[in-house]
This record gives sequence, C-alpha cells and structure tokens, in this order.
Amino acid sequence: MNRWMPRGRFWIAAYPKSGSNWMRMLITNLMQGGEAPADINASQSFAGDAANLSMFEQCTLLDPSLLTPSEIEVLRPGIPVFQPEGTLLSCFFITYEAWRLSQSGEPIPGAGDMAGVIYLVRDPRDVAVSVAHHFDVSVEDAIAGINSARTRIEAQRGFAPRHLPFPLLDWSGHVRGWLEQTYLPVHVVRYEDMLTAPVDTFTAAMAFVGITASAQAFEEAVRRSDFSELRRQEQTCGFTLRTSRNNAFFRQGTAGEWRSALTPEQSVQIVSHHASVMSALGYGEGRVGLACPHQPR
Amino acid sequence: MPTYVISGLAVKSEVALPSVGETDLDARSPDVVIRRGAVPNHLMGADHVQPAWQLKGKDILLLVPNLIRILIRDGREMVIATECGSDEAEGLVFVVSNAFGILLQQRGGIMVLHASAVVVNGQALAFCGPSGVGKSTLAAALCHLGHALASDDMCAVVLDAYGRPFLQPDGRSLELWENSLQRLALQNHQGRPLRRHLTKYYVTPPARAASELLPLAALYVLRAAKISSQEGIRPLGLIEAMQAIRANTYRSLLIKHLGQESAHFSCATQILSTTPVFGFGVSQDWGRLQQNVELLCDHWRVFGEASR
Repeated sequence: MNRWMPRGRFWIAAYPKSGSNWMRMLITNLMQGGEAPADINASQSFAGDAANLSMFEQCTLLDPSLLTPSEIEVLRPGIPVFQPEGTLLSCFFITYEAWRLSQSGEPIPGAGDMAGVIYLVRDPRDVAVSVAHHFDVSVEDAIAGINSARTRIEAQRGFAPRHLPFPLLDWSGHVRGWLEQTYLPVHVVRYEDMLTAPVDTFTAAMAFVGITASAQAFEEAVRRSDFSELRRQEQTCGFTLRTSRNNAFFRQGTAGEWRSALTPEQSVQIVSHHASVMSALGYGEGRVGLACPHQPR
Repeated sequence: MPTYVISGLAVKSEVALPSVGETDLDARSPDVVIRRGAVPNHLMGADHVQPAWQLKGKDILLLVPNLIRILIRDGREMVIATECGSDEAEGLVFVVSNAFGILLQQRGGIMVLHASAVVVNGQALAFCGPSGVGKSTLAAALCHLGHALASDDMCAVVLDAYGRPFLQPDGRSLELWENSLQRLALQNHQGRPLRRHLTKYYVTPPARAASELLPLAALYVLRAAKISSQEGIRPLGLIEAMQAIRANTYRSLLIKHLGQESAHFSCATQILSTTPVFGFGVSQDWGRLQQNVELLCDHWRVFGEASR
C-alpha cells in the first residue's frame, strides 16, 4: 500500500546513466515502506513511459516499425503517456527523451496533465564513462554521442524493441531542453549530491512533488536503496534493464570516475563542448584542471 | 484487376498489393474491394478522433502522415488516396497490414490476434505477443525446420458451428528484419524491403499453408525474458489467458469503439474452453534463438502427444 502520494504526475527526466534507476528505487522504497528492500526487477512497473511502443500502436493503429522517425514525430504529441496497469506508483514517468517541439509546435514528450519535472543531472565526464560500460561501446564513441546533437536512441530493430526511437541530442542540448522549457516547473537533482547528501537531496526532491514524509522514512528509503543493495540484487537475480553482456548495470555508483577512466584529451573534448552548461550546474572549470578556460557558448 | 485471398477473404484490388500473391477467384465474388478514390482528411461528425485515425459509424479513416489516407468501410471496401508527392508503393504496406487488420475487426465474428502461426501436424500453433518480442522470428525459425507458415503478425481466428476455433491462413509473406534474415540464413528467400528506408524485408516462406481453415491447437503468449528466471513455458490460468487474449487482440482499442465487447468476450471464452494457452518467456539474446525454438518444439512434442 502506498503511504504517500505526490500532488500530480511528474516526469523523472534524465540523460541516460544519470541516476534515474536509483531515483526509481528510492521512490519505490519510500512508498513501499517495510523492512525488505524493494525488488529491482519487480519495481519496474513503477513508472509509465512516454515512448511506449504498445501505446503508440493502440493510439494510432499503425505499426511504428513501418514509419519513418519524422512520421512518428508528427504523431507523437497526440499520444498519451503510457501507464501500465497495476503500477506501484502511477504518478512518475521516467523518460530519457530530449524535450523538443513537434512541427506543429507542440512539446514532446509533452506537458499534458503533468505537474512538473524532476531532472537528474550528472557530470558528463562520468556519464561518458558509464555510457561506455552500459552500451558496450568505446569511451571515444560514448564521447562522440554525448557531444553530438544528432544522437538518437533507436528502437532495437528486430528483437524486442521496448520503445519508439527518439532524439537524445548532445548532453548540453538535453539539459537545456528540459531546464529551459517553460511548460513545467523543474526540480534539478545532481547525481553527485545524491551521493554526498542522499537523504537531504531525496527529501528536497520529494518535497517538490508534494511528499513530506518523516525524516526516518527518508533515511530508511535511502538505506534500502543503497548502491551495494542494488548491486547485490543484480548479482543474485539479474536485472532486466541491463543491456551490456559484459558489464553490470549497477556498476560503481560513484562520482569522479572520469579522473582515472578518461585521458586528459578526452576530458577536454567533453568540457570544451559543454563548458557553459557544466559551469551553470557547478561542474566547473576549476574541477577540470584545464590550463585554458573555455568560453561559454 | 488483381485478385487475392487474404485471411480467407476474396480481395479485388485496383492496385497490385505487396506481400501477397495473386490468386484466381474463379467464380467467387469479392468480399473486399480496394480502389483508389477521393478520401477526406477528416470524417465530418466523427464519433472518435485519434492522432492517426477517425471513426464514424463503422467507417474508419486511417491517416499515415504525409503518405496515404485509407478509408476502410464496413469491412468490405478500402478507398486509398496517396498524399501529394508521395509514392503509392510506400503507402501500400499499410493497406495490407494495419488497414487490413482493421477491416477484419470491422467485419465482426473474427478474433484478430496480434500473432504469427505455423502448421504442425495439420494444426495451427499461434504465437502472440507485443511488437518486437520475436513472433515473426520464431515463426521463420520454425518454417526453416520445415513447418509451413500459416500467418505472420496477424491471425484471423473464427469459430465453427460447434464453437471450435480455426485459424484462417493470411496468405501474406513473412516480414523480417535484416538481422533475423541473416541469423536464420533466409537471404535466398528475401524479397524487397517493406519501405525504402527500412531494413525489414518481405520473405517468401519456404512453405506456406493452403488457404483452408486450420484447427487452432495452442496459443503461446510470448513475453520478453530479460533475466533467466523469466524464461520458459508454463500453462496460463484462465484469468491470465483471458487477459492475454485481450491484450493481444489486434488493435484491441477498436473492440470497444466498434461495439464488439460482448462478442469479443464470448469468442475469447469459447477459444479458451478448447485451446490451451501457454506463457512463453522468450530469451532476448540472439545467441539463444535456437534454444527458444528447441524449447518450443520439445514442449509441443510432449504436450501434443499427451493431448492426442
């Protein structure tokens, strides 16, 4: 039984590998209560999905695999957010899509009857390292994706596509899209703050959505969502969202891995591309250790 | 004018249709006519309007953005109009797939399942499941083992006078992505891509069922198994099977809008009273496709023997 409910429907939006599944587990554990940590696989019914294939098929009667990306984009604004039956929480919707406007000027994935956005953000240098592991690609390819405004998440053609194809943009474009849209209020959560001050950061995020539980409830949710617990469950039972054959989904859960995992040149490639947005979010030049400061774009 | 038999219906079409071979209808008069003509952008006074379709009475207008408009009338006629500057051939793929599925729904008395099916011992084994779960790939793999293809992606099931379910073979080709073709070594059967931008191809099955009705022997409900504990085949209880039929009815939203709730429920219960339904957690690892196929064959061998 849910102990508290938010004041409306909220996006949990993030660039991939920025902590969305950790946030999902935190919320699930808060809502679920009890002593045992929530099951990382069972709790996937937690949230709806904006780019859900079945919802698109039902609403359009068309097979999305036969449509071009631009034909899908024309239809997207009219597709409601998918909400699976029997969801533990029916008010949170995880999305990795870039916020954008359709040809007719309507927002995608959309404001609809949403009340706001929790936007999760993480140092793009750590995102690059994590993306490389998650998708089994080289760090160079991960950086190329993070730096390219043309980056898209395609459906896995031919076998088990879970979602419609959608644009991701570059990391800055993704952040700007969600933070500068004027349709919905946004609460920004930094991954790094979730690590250093998890209870306070999570409590503030929940306050934004209208959930004011006891301090003890938040502390328990954080404890039951500890990274070691998520990793233990994955090692024991597997994790359905894992895509890599070689690497665990819940891998390290740390900040600053880029310092050892990236070459100085690779760090510069990211910082030089995203300096302005990084600076705004506190991922400053001083922490990069660059000789030459970069001009904001 | 080309003529065809699709899902048991005699079709006369002003345009040559992809995916399905021409058939002489002999003296049989067509059940469905497909022709070019004037198609409105909107159905005035529509009962229901969605992003890509509108419903008025029993007429459904299907709109593929910037490509084709298809007016589907009372399960008997399709009028098509290609959007200015578009290639008609690109739009026809929607006529033989999505629009034809809707037309079957309109006719009533047919359970249209989002499923593929093959022939085993003169009976149909059907696999339903969400898009991309591997229905066509599984059907193609079974075809590769010598079973005839009965239907791909859409199965029309009808009840005989005794209430027994029969599958009406669709007569269409398989539709496979390039990686499935390669995995199954079916390149020699590869036809043209469904659309120019796609690496999904029409594939002539090595063997195809005749157009006669096939008894429906079993229904497997495919689910993507992403961890090992979700893999395997198990019988579904009645409630779960009812839910599965509902969820895997082709474009199930139409059941309500076409006023077929009661008929659909009645047909589903009739099917479930005679046909076993199994949940099949299918590994999504390409390397385990063969294992999926063997699992199914072994299951059917044991179950098929036991049910004789």
